Amino acid sequence: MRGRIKLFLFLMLASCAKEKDFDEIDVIGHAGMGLDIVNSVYHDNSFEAIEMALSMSGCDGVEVDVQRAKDGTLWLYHDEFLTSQTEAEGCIQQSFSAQLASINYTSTHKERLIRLAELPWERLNGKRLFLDIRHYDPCEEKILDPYEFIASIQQILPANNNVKIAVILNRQQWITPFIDAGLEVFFHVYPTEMDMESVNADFPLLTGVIMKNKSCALSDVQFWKAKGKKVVIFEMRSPKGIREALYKYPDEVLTDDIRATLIEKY
Amino acid sequence: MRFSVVIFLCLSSFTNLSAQDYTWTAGLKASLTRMDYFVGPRIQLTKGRYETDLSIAFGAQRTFEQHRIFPRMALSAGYAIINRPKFGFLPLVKVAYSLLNLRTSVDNFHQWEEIYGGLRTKFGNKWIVHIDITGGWMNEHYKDSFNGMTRNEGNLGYDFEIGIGYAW
Repeated sequence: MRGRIKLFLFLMLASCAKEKDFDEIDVIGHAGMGLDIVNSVYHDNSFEAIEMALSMSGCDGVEVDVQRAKDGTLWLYHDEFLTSQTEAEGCIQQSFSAQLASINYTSTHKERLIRLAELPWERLNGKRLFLDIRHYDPCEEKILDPYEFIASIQQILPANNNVKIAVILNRQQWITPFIDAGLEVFFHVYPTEMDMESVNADFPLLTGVIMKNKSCALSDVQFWKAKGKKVVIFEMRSPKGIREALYKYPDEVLTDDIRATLIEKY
Repeated sequence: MRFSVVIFLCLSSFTNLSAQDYTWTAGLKASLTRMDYFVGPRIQLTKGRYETDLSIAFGAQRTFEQHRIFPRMALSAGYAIINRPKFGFLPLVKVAYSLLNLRTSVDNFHQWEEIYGGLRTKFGNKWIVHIDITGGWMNEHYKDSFNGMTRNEGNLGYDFEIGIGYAW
């Protein structure tokens, strides 16, 4: 009887297991330990969340959301307005460092907003760092100057050149200035809404593209890989979604649940 | 330390009960926590207004969907402030311990300890359905891949549990 129970448990656990070949896919923490995910201990884009992600064996890097303050410093924050996640008002783009340095998230741990320069650089050594660039000032309702943004990024780069830094851009007009500045650029593409051939023709020096898991298929990943571009897939939370993303064989997955992704990968 | 004290209290109430007249209840439970949905068997010992539960459950997503065993052991103790034949209402304390191997090329165990307080409502006489709403503190500890030190990450946690059991 005991043997039958063991056999049943073994078959139950092994029956759906598929052969995995995900060794080449890097696991990147979305805004640290994930965005809007219940099992994340810390608030997205906080120092604590980023450090925790980088402390996990198998995590190959992190993505952070970067906004430029009025004095040119770069801050990590996801939303457009400060009111949504903090007790402060306004936007990063209209604030100065002294104001932003005193702002904390309204979360359990009350983590404070941090500057890009405050990242745990020693932990990022040899790892991937994606900077998701926010080009828009929602308070003034205007597009920022890409060259000012690039100058702010370059101020922190020389001291941290062992980190594999790349930027994620949502705005086509910003691609060339960032490539000209020597940065690796990943462009956010929407396969169902864009002519991918023309994006590739217009920007042959793109390092890669980033796509939402739900809006891309295996054929889209294969298309970009055939063009010699790296592919990143993001927005995955459930084990099912993570599995779907991994079976499209991108180069990197930007995951909201690092633990579940590590289990799926290994 | 807090964890040890609560375990001691739970176990001491268990020991006291077993020396007197008591009722056993065995059944199944499902609970929703921050880390997973846990399902598994539970056993309960009741004497008068006191009751103590022990359960071993498994994380449904990790164990059954991702094929990575994620066990969780929970122990709780409560005292019924309303104890009618087919209805009970009691405050309770709960401690739980769970373990998950997030192995990559090597084993990498993450462990969680939880200490919760909350309320239980139960219905029935022989067949008893219970609903627990508890909340408190959870701590995750694991080895930091950067420096090899043990990390402790604390957070608010919760455990919403529903179960059914047969009493005898």
